[in-house]
Amino acid sequence: MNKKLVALVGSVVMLGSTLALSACGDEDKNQFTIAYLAAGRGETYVEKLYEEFQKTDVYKDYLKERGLDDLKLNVIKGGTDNVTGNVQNAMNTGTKVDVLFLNYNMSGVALTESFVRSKQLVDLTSLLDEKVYGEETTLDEKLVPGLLENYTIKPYGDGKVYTLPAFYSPTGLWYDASRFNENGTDGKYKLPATWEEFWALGDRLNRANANGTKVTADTPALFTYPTTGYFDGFIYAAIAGTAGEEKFQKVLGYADGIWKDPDVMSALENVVRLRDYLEPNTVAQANKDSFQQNQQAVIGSADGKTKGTALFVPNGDWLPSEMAASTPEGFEWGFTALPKKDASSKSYVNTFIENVYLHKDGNHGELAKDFLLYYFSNEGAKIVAKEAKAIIPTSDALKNAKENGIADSIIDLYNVYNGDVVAISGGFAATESVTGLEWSDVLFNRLNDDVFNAKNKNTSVADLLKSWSDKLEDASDKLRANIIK
Amino acid sequence: MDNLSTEIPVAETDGEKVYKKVEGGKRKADRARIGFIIATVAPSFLLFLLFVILPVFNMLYTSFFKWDGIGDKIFIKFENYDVLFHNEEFWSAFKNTVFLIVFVTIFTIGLALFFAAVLSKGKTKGKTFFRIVFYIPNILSIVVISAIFSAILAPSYGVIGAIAKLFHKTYTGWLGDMDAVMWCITFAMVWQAVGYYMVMYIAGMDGVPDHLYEAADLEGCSKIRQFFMITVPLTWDVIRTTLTFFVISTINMSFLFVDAMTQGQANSHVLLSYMYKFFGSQYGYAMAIGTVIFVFAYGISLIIQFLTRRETVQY
Repeated sequence: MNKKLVALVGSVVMLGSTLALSACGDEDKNQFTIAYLAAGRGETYVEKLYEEFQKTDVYKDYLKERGLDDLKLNVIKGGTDNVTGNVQNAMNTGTKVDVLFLNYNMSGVALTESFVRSKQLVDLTSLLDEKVYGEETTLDEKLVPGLLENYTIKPYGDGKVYTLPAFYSPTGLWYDASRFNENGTDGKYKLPATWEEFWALGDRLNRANANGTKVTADTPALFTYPTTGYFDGFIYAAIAGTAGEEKFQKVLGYADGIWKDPDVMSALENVVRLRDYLEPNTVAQANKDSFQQNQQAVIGSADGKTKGTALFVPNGDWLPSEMAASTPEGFEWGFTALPKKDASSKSYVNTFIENVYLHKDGNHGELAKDFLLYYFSNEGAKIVAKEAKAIIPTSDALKNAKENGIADSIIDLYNVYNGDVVAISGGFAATESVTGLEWSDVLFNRLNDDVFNAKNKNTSVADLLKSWSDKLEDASDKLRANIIK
Repeated sequence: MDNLSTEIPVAETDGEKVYKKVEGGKRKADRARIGFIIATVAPSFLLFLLFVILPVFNMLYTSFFKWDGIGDKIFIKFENYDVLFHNEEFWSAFKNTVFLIVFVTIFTIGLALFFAAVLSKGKTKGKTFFRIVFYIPNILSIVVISAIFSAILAPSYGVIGAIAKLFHKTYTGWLGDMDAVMWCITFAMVWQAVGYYMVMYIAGMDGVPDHLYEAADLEGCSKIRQFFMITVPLTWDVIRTTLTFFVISTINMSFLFVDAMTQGQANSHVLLSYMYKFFGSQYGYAMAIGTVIFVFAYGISLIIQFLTRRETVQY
């Protein structure tokens, strides 16, 4: 009898505990939930911001109005691979998220895209006219000009703002500054300004490295890339630069026939042609485990004894800190916009925008808006500069960057916008999902296999280009039919 | 006869009495027992229902919808399947999965049987040592194994690259080579699994009585012949069970290896990794792939069961 009793109790406990587990996740209204990507921007800036935000009158007034004693911060964070999954899990178990610092095109769950599709974001258009915390300037005046005119901010193309740029950074080509000088003398190279010069340099390198079969530190290859995911910015800037801004906007809006346009195709050709100038290890290492090896190929050996086997790699402003551990002392990074169409045309820099937005089911929508106004204030900029080592996209933040303790090398990078450079930003019109189709696969992820893989060695650039643009046009047609209006 | 006929009713009445007595008690006991069985089985049955049966039907159900995991579900009948069966990448993943099932199974089971035969009855020196050595890969996590193989295969710092350099050959990484990548994954998977199955076969082979081998020896039967005439038939049940086991686990394990080693580059996606790609954005479509995988795995294990069915040889 005792045994039976034990067995019975045991099985009841088993069932009970499972049910109890699945019932977990009761929402506590006395918390303010912020989700953020804790990667390149550090893992503390949100906590610190909120800590300081809690000292403001705005926050205290909000508590008083609602008769609350305290609003504890509930943070959902994670790295690039898992943050969106963490947020999705939390939401599925009933957590209401107020503020989200998440981007488009993240690996794992396409959360931002899903929110946009199902219209779950708060319309922030009117927030632009409100004054940022503790200042007399409105948010609209505060933000760096030009950053709002793209589909990541206005996903439905109707002029309404649903996300804001939380961070911005120029993406372009990085190189070892010690290998270049102004005129290409003393065994150094001259920085190519136009595509023509770029390919000429590539041909010169290919002659020295026997078309990529003898690539060494002394006879480097022209180009490498971390993973094909890093081609987004490259492709955007190439299209805007070669085909012009108007056609670039058409590309982003999935206009009919745009991928068959000769100018757009000539921009794509600049991507396909890279196949013949690649650092040979690139393709095998273009995955999340080994991509740093490709970045290392520009740096050379970590002890600084040998130089890199590739000259250029496309990337964003986080590259130097990401590679800091294996960068030899005294190594100096160089950064340039993509080559220009010709000497007289402008050069284009793709700006990578990291977004922040509010979810419409958040418990504390009003406070969340105040939190955003605090974020974009000079006080917020100071905290972000200190904790995340980053410059938020307000003009003042760049002005005060030095004072806020941002390194000169990073400030230099943002000064790229001061030249005769046009800043553009990618991000496509929001669409319903098309079954079985991943736009990022067609646009850049498949390049590794379909263009750069050694298997395509004997296929001509023209054929590769045609097959890629066919696929792009086909996918673009399908997506255009599903644009959310 | 008379005796009998008179005795039987007596016995019957006797029996009936006894029986009745027993029955009364038995019914009570039975009810209690059935109640107890239900009470103890119900929780695990409920859990089984909740965590196995329900998800399977839920998967099937969701596969008829267009749903990204967050927004509204839209019923689209068979569209997910229609797109799936016309998708190049899906068929490439399917081909890769079959490739792995065939080659990983052949090599693993073959090698495991071979090593087991050598290490179980053979008088090999250092038997225990080899058993441990072969088993070690199985203790390592898949991520560690993938890291080991990535390090061996890496073009910029790997062992193979260094060897190639020695012979003045260029090596740019097999994980980016469409002809080599599946073989690399196969090798890693075989290396990982051999030890485990070897231990299982050793356990089976150790049960085969020695006198059979002694008799065979006296008859002048070679070791190879002994293996096929005695060892294999007598351990057939073990081989058969592990085979089904193994094929199913290969489908699962291939995901871990692909995810950790290549993330699908160089056309190395397998069914599960292809499904996982759509997990975050097209949940309904992912579930359609899941359903196909489920049917495929189930079908293949049924086929194996059917093909390997033969009379069990006893000893």
